[in-house]
Amino acid sequence: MKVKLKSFTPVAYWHWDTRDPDDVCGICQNQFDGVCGTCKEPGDGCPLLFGKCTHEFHLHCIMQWLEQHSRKPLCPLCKRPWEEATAEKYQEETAAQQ
Amino acid sequence: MSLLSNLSHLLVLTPCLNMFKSPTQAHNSNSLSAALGARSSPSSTSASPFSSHSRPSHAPVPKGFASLLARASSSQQSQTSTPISIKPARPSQYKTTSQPPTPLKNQRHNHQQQQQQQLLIRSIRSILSSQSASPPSSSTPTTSYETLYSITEEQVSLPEQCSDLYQRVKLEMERAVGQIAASLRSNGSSHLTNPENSDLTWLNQLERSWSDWCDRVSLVRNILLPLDRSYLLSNPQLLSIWDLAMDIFGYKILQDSELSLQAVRRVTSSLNLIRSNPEGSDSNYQKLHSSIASMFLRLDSYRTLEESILQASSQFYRIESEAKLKAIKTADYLLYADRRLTEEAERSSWIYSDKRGRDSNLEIVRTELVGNHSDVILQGLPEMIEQNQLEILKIAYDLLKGVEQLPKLRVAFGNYIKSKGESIVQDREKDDEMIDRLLAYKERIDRIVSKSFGSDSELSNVQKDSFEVFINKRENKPAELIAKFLDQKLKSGNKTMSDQELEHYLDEALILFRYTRDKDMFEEFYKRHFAKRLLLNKSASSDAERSMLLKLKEECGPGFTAKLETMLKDVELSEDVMKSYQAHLSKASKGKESSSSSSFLAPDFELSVNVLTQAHWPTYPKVEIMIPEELNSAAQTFSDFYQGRNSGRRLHWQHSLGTLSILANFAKSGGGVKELQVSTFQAVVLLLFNRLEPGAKLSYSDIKAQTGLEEKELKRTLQSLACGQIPTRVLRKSPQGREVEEEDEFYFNENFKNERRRIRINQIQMKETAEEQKSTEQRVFLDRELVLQAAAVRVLKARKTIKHNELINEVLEQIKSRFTVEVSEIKKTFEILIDKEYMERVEGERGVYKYLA
Repeated sequence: MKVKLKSFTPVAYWHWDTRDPDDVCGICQNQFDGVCGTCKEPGDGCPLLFGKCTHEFHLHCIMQWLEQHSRKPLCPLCKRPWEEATAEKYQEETAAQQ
Repeated sequence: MSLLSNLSHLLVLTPCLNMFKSPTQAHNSNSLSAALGARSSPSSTSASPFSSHSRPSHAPVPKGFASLLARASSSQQSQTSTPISIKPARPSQYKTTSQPPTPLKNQRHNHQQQQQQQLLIRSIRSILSSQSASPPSSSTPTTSYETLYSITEEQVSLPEQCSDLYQRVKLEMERAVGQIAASLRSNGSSHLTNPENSDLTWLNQLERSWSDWCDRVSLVRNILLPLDRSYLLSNPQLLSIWDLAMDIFGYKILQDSELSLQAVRRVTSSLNLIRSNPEGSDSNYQKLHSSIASMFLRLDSYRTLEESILQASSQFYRIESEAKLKAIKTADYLLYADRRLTEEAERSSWIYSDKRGRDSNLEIVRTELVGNHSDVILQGLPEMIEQNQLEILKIAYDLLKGVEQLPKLRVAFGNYIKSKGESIVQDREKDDEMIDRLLAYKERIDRIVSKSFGSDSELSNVQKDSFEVFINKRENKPAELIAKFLDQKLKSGNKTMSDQELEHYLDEALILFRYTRDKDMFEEFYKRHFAKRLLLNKSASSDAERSMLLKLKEECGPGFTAKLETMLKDVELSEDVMKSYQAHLSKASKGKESSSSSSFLAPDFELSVNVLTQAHWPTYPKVEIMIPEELNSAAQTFSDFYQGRNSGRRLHWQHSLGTLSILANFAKSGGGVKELQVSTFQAVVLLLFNRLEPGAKLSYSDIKAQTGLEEKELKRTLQSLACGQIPTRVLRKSPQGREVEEEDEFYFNENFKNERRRIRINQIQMKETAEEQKSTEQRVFLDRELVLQAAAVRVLKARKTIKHNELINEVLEQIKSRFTVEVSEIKKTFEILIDKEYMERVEGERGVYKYLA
């Protein structure tokens, strides 16, 4: 006798695609999958921003930082000039690094 | 004097008499003898002495009898319209008169006058004498009242006669009252053989003497009217004839220590007799009492009587209540007290002449029956509540309210709620029923408060406070069980009850939740149950779920439900994603037909993925499992689709939460095609058997190797498939047994039988196991530590330096909406923060902390 699949209802968690899913945002020290200091709900309301320097932050966190240092926008962690990367590009780059 | 002449006098006098008689008696006065005889008849008792007290002051001395009558009747008319006022008590002007009549100046001239006076006095004596029930006897020369009146007029015209006359009248009155007093005294000391009867007899005699006296005096007063109007008007220090008569009667009888004592004693004992024999008619005495009370009132001795009656009432009920309290149950006692109070209220209406007396009597009776025994009564409270005696409890409430002892009731009520409630909460063996029992208990108490205590706001506050106290006597467990209770209601939900019933249960459970202080514990358990309802699609009604979330939000604020709302949103969002995924798939499959190069293959089963925001869902242990290719590829395809749509996101599968629906044909046993609803783990195991020949067996180790499940999960899964309830045993195991062992072998159950088409195989791993419950609890405790630390750091950050106690209070204030902890826990937190170098002790200052940035 054989059984036949009718429907499949799996469960998945979504995570921000960071180098280390358990890492925290360098600015607010909250988990990337959590929220920046001011937001309540993770998700599209509080997304991440990826830098070409391979550092990622909550969008709200890094924007505030860049506003404060608007003359010379640097990555707060590595002090290289801040340049935004698209998520895909970022993923490729980090993959290449690994 | 002949009867005829008597009658002729009477014709003139009758109107005059009538003003002192009640109208019912007026027709009796056809003859003087009848008029006088009427005094001794019982009906004369209704002749009120008050209405007969009319002394038209400041009226000029009448010139003729006719004009007198005109005035008298007009004055009577004017008097009927004015209310009778009781004169305030005044010191008695009466003094025993012993001085002889003043010597007359002109003997010869006055000789006739003296004789006239003698006649007058004799007549008055005869009228006043209580022995003469009939008109003046033949031994004394009978003189018509008109003649007597004329004599008085003549006497009054000689001022020197007036004082003499007045003194002699006074003497006559004293003598008459003395006779009455003597008769009362002698009758009082006899009649000892039948004390019950003697009280009534004696009081009747007293009453008769009094009304008789009033009748006689009013006659005398009419005869002496000229004296009243001239001599006494010009001598205001002297009492009028009427007042004098009253004063003498009052002094000699009601102020006589022996007689007044007798009167009061007999009145109170008559009343007590009525009290102790409530069935007996008391109308006889009632009439007598009101006459006697009126007498006391008229003679300004009423307060003494009232005081004694009140005292007797107090004493009577003191003795009776103590005896009753020992003899009968509290509930019966309350009924008794209530009945007594009603009776006494009725009785008061005739016992007491004014509202003041009635009120103070009721107050005294209340105090004796209830006020003085409130402690004993309240000892019976638990029993009355246990037996749900709503009526009795209402009586208890009203009675205690009457004596202003509701505070005591509040204390007793609170103590009962607490002790009974705590016994439910602490009954560890019946934890499963705790919430049902609490709700039933609460409903009972609610009903008592609303039905028996008239929804007294103070008492309902007591109820709330007491519930809060006892629910928190046991930490955390009630909160956990409330969450579980809600889960059961929201799961089974509408299958067994209507929407309104469900709402009612939710509201009631929410009230219990309001009382518990371990809100975080509730939240955590509620979240876990909620997650399962959502993921396993077990919610009875999404409306009910939403309504519950709304209630919780109202109760605890949006922060409390934020996570729960995200969970609900995740599930809804996932449905949307699945719709667009289906659209995407159908588009892709169409594209495949045109260009056959694509290797994409749409699976032949439905896929619906729940994508969760991890931070807001309960955490589940990650379990490794090797997923069959067909499932894995379907998942992978979706994963690619999802990540393409949501850049920067990546999906992580949590297979321990997944479910499947699979079709199995049990043709051999005649069962036909069945739809089995299983977990991903169960499905993965079942799918292994697809590759085997019919009847072939798989060993435990084979299954383990092929699924990659760790031992505990695998055993649990196999147990659910092969050792569950017989109608859900899809697999068979050899050897048979309840537990799964490593040497066991498994094979398909060809004889599977189940009447239903859809079969949910109990997903043991999804059940809240004791272990899981423990770990949930542990997680809450861990969270509490972090919340405490965070709260302390927040305060420190704001204050920089702070004293130990202040910091503790601030922290308690911050966390109280979520949970409560012992102060020792907070101290531990401080130690940790010092270790972590968030703060330090300030040197040289005791108990002061400083924030380290």
